Amino acid sequence: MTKKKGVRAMDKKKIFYLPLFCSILILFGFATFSFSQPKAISPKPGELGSETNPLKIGTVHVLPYLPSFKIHEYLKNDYGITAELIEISSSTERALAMLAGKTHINYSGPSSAALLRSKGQPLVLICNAGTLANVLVVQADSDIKKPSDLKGKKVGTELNSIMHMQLLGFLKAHHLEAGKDVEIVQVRYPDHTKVIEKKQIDAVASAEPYPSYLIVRGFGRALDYLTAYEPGWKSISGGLNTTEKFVKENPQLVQAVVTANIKVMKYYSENTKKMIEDSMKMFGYSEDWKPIVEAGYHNTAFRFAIEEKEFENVGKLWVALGKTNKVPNPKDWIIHDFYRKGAAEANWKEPEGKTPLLLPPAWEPGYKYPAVK
Amino acid sequence: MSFSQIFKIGQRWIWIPCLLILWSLFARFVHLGTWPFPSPWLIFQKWWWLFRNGSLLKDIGASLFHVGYGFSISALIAISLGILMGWNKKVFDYLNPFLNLIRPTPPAAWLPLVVFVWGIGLLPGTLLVIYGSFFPILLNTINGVQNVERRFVNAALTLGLGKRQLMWNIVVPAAFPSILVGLRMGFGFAWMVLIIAELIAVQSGLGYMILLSVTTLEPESIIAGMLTIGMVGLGLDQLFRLLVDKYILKWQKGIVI
Amino acid sequence: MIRRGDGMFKLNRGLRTIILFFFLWEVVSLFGLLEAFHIPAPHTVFKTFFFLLVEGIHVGELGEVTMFKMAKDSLYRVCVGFFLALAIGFPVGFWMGWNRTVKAFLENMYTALRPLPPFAWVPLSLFFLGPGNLTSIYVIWIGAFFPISLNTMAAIENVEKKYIHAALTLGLTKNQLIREVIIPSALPGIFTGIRIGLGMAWGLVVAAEIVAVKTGLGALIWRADLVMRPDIILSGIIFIGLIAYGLEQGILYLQGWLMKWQKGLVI
Repeated sequence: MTKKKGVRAMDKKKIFYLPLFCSILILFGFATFSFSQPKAISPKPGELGSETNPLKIGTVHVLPYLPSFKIHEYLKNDYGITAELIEISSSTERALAMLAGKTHINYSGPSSAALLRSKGQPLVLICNAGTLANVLVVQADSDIKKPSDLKGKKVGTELNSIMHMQLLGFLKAHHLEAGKDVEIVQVRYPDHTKVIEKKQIDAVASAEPYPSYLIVRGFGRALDYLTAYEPGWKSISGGLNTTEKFVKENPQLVQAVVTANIKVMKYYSENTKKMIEDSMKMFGYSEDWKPIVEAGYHNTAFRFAIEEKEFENVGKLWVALGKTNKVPNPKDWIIHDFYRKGAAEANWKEPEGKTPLLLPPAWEPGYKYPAVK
Repeated sequence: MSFSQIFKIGQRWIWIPCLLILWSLFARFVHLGTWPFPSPWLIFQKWWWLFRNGSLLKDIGASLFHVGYGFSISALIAISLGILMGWNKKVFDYLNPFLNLIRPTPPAAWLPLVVFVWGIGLLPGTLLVIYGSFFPILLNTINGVQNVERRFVNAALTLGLGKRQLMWNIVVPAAFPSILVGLRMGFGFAWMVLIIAELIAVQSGLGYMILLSVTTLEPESIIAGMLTIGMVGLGLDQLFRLLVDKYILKWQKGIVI
Repeated sequence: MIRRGDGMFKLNRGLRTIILFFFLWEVVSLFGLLEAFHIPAPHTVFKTFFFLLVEGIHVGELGEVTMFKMAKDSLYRVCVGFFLALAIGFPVGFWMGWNRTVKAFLENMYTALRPLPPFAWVPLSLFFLGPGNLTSIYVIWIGAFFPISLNTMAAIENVEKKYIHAALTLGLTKNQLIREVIIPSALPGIFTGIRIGLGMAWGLVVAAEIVAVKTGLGALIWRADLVMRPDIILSGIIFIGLIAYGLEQGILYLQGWLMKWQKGLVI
């Protein structure tokens, strides 16, 4: 009789412990399963993308390239890839760095890429990086009120960059001849603000945040947003490019970067406050630059789709300048697959509106620079 | 000419063909991506083209103007200040520690600040050249004045020379060799700093031409520009030496710089 | 009798100039006259200086990088370039001073290459070596190489012939000759070359780090230029100057220590 009791007692205990034991098993299994779940790519030590051999991304401190400063987090968390940022302020030098193998993927305006491609260097474009944060700024008190007033004046820009290309398109559209009517001089990108402040150059074609700095602080005035002129730059001011070899050898890494880039673009488009905070922190601006950064972002829109015609026009412009005699074939050097797949993965469509395309030219009567918050 | 004579002459110049051979090999095997290192022939072609163009001469002229302008101003200030500081202990004590605070900072470090304050153009470039060449000239002048042999000064004082006569007839000539050493060093520095200044702040000259060659992706022009810089620098240095040896120190035989 | 111009009085005068300078600077900046010129006030610069030492600035994916780390990186590059220059320049200079034929071979190449400023190499090495440590080290190497080798050559050449003859008469072998006579008497000249070379190497740190070197004092200054922070630029300049002074004193101390060991030598 006691035996039966003992067994029943044990049975009771067993029944009680069983679900407990099972739930512990399940929890434990779940935990180990999720922790040991290999990240999507997870390069082995020594491979490209691991800690000892990081993926090198070239970029520069301009507002549209803010995603490049955040992308390493996404690459690490989602893919286990370690990325290193290489900041080079001249787009030509960035392109050269990639050819030298110092960077693997570049955030860079397509101007140098197009020139190099036409000279036979194997560069390819894989994603757009943002539109139009480039502005033609004149001195605040100058008498240049419309484009034709630029006759006989000096315009400074970083030669052979996308700002230069856009300026040439602008001049052509307004029937001004570069070199004859308007003199274009080389001014290093960080010096753009100084030459307008000190009234040493009449106008400057610059990239955000410097135009906003000049306008918000009252040193300059926007003459035009350098958009939508033949050779039209409607959809580009930057892009992601890399070499053919890299795409062939590491398509996974390329896809990872493009997808991460689009994800960051989506995140910032939806969290504008964080966007401004992060810019301040990552670029290193002092606190009093907040209104400038905010104004600058009025001028920036994140884009990933590539319009082939615009990029073809870059090449045509180089030919018109006499620097090369071949226009790179868009079919060869533009790859659409990566960003299409990335957009699908990130589940993000490019927002319509809220782009500088909707801003009228600054010299039209009644124009008001977007209000600074 | 005997064989040994030819050999002696050949020794001095054999490095040129050696360099050209090495260079051609370089051009054959070294490249950036698929970009070949420019061969000597290409570079020479480019150099000649630039020369014929007139743009090379224009750039050389601009550089010479910048360096001459900055250097002369710097020399004027540095020599006057140097003589004053070397001669007058009071002034020396007042100014020396302050100058010693500034001296270790390299001129290139001041470049961004100079552009901040004065923008781009002739003024910031000249300022930088002045800063770069200032200290060698100053220090050598002070050294020269301080090391004028005491017996000259005593002899002059015994002969009844006034202070001003003492300064101009005894001290400055005696310090002259040191001053010239300082000037030659200062000029070398001025030329060096000029290139930095032109690459960044000034809008004309050889440094600027090299910068443009980088943006238009023409490495042959870069090397052609570098060669020109070297040649002009060398020419000026030799000119300096010639001037010093022949005309200025004629009366100070036996002094070798 | 303590005269004016001795000891403490001497220090006093110089100190007065420095204090006066900073005082004037602060006063002018308080009036707001310097804002148009973008010159920061002294107190801002000092605040930024210590902030940079302790907290540093944000660099890409590295997070906050202090100025100490930046100095360490710059020093690394300068040391590598400088020691390379020493390793190649000293033997070459020695050989040129020792052997007339070698000198004849190389002398004209030297005269041709010397006036080329080291900074002129930056665009070319940027093009082919790409941005990064390699370019910086190369430029620093070129800068230090010529002073070291030329001064070594001059020092070896100027060893007084009578010492050599005396040593040979006493029956020293070639190695002993070099070790006991040549190098010690050439040491002052060699050290001059080393001092100048080190000065050039550190002086090139800003120029060499102009492109795409992420951390480093020169990179700090160019980054500050990009975000328009002249106070960071000045802090960087101060730190560069401090390290330059430290290096100079270090070499002088080393020179004094080595020379003292070489008894009887008059410097």
